[in-house]
Amino acid sequence: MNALRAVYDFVTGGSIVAPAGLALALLCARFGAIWLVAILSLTLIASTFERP
Amino acid sequence: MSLALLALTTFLASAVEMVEAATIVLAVGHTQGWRAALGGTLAASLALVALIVLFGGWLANAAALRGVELVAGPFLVLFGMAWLRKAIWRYAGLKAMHDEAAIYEREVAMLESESERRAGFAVAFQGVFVEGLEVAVIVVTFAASRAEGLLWAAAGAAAAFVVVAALAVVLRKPFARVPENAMKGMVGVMLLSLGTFWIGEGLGLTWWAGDVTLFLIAGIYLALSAAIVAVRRVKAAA
Repeated sequence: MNALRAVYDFVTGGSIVAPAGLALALLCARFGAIWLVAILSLTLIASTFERP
Repeated sequence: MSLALLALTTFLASAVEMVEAATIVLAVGHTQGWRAALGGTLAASLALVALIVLFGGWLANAAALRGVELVAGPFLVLFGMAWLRKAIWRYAGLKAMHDEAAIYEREVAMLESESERRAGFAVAFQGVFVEGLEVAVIVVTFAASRAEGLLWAAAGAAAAFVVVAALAVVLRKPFARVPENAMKGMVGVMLLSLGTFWIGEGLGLTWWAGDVTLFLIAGIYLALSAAIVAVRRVKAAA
């Protein structure tokens, strides 16, 4: 479990918002490239509100 | 253009991580001897090169496969976001700036209390390996995304390693004046932009301005980051 957690933290930097936002961006990208950039931008904003 | 960008990204990422690793190696060298410090550094460097050659070579063959960007792109987006938000937190005053001099003093104090000489080798090995692992993963990811990506990305990382190692040998003290946070922020923007662009290509999306869109995306993320820092600073001051 600790190893899994370490891999998760290594890939995501410990963020919950970033992978969730990425998944949403991948889903919405079918509507156009602007959606991909817009949702990833919102994800970046939201991820900075996680605890440093 | 894109390949040169890969080399620049890995150069900056590698430089930042190697500056942090050099602090640990210098602390080991001054307290436990240069044999342990350089031995640990060499062993960790060889382990990282082995990882890059093994996985990079394997993935470079997959670079021609359709859709491989859909695997590499999300990795880069997550890495880039992690680097960028850390830089944003530091610029906004929400997280302490990385202080190489303070880290050096802490490492020296820890190593001086350690009687076991093998600890120096282990600390140097761990410092270089852990700091270099993320760069190795980025290089391997680039290898999967573009033909010749492995060569360019590895060259960028190797160049940074040589520059930082040479400076460490000449100066023999931690690099307190390197603008690490600015470099981290730039790497974050580049990784996030490349990841976004490649995901779009993998999905078969049409980018507004062809390959130039990559720079537009980087501009959007850079402007957005600056805006977040400005807003968070105002909020923190209020």
